[in-house]
Amino acid sequence: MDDDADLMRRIAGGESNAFRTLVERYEKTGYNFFLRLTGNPEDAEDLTQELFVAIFRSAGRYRAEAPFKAFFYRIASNLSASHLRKRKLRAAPSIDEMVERGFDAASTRHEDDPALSLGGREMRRRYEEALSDLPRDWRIALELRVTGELTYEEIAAAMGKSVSAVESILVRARERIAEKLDDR
Amino acid sequence: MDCRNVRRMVSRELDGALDGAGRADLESHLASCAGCRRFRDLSLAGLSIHRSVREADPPLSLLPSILAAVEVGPRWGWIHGWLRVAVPAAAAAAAVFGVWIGGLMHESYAPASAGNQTDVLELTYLGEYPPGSLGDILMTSNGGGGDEQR
Repeated sequence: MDDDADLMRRIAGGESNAFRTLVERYEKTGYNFFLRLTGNPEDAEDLTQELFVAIFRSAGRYRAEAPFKAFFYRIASNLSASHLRKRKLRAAPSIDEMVERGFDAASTRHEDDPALSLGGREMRRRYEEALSDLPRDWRIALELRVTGELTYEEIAAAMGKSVSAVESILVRARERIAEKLDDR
Repeated sequence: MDCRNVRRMVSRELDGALDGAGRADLESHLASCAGCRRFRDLSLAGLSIHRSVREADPPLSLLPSILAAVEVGPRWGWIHGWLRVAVPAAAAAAAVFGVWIGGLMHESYAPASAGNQTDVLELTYLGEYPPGSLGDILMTSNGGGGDEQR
């Protein structure tokens, strides 16, 4: 299978098939990243389209030394930040709403799942609320880490921050969430 | 070890970035600190909730719309790029042409010499003023010239 860097090189050379392959490989990743952050399928669709158009147009500037994932999420993060800035008054979606709009709650749960052992549905509600109250950059960093599974270095590259700043953001985000989850 | 550092270690643990030595230090602290234990439990719960949402499939229309967008994009981009050069060039050419035409008109209509009062007067009286207009009134009040025009 072609690796991402090679695909980008071929896209820069004008191969439309290479671009199609890249979109097929990453459209679900991009769409879900935006859907989690915006909670709106139409917005997620528009942003995913913008993301791939931006990747297509900047293919010539892509350097293979940098991981494609970091390049991909850097553009995605910028688009998300811009979108969330414009719509900062809009609350983040609840997980129930996200399920209604297309997300599929995992059906396989373990009995020792802390989400259930600590109070199930009420915990979910508090988590959603805590997530929606986080500053924009914190939410993006958390999403890049948890959903995108980026390393601290990759998140730093994607968000244009230092590694220590990213780590601090993640710690503070988790502290803020833990405070909201704590019912005592 | 203070709790602030321990929470950083918990965060690293959640991210799979805590080494063996760090893990031992963490467990040692957690054994004696209920607050940090609670933080770890809640953070694990949050992570579990976050991961419990499964990915959605994008709409089938997404792929074709992306491909269509980049097919249109470069074409419009080329036209846009061309216009960015052509419009200023056309404006500059129009300005040069205007200056050139202005120069020609100046040569055609300017008096042959500054002292030739007749030429200037002839230019002044070229037009016929409509009856009752300001020009007509002025010409009539100055006497002679206006009558000759009519």
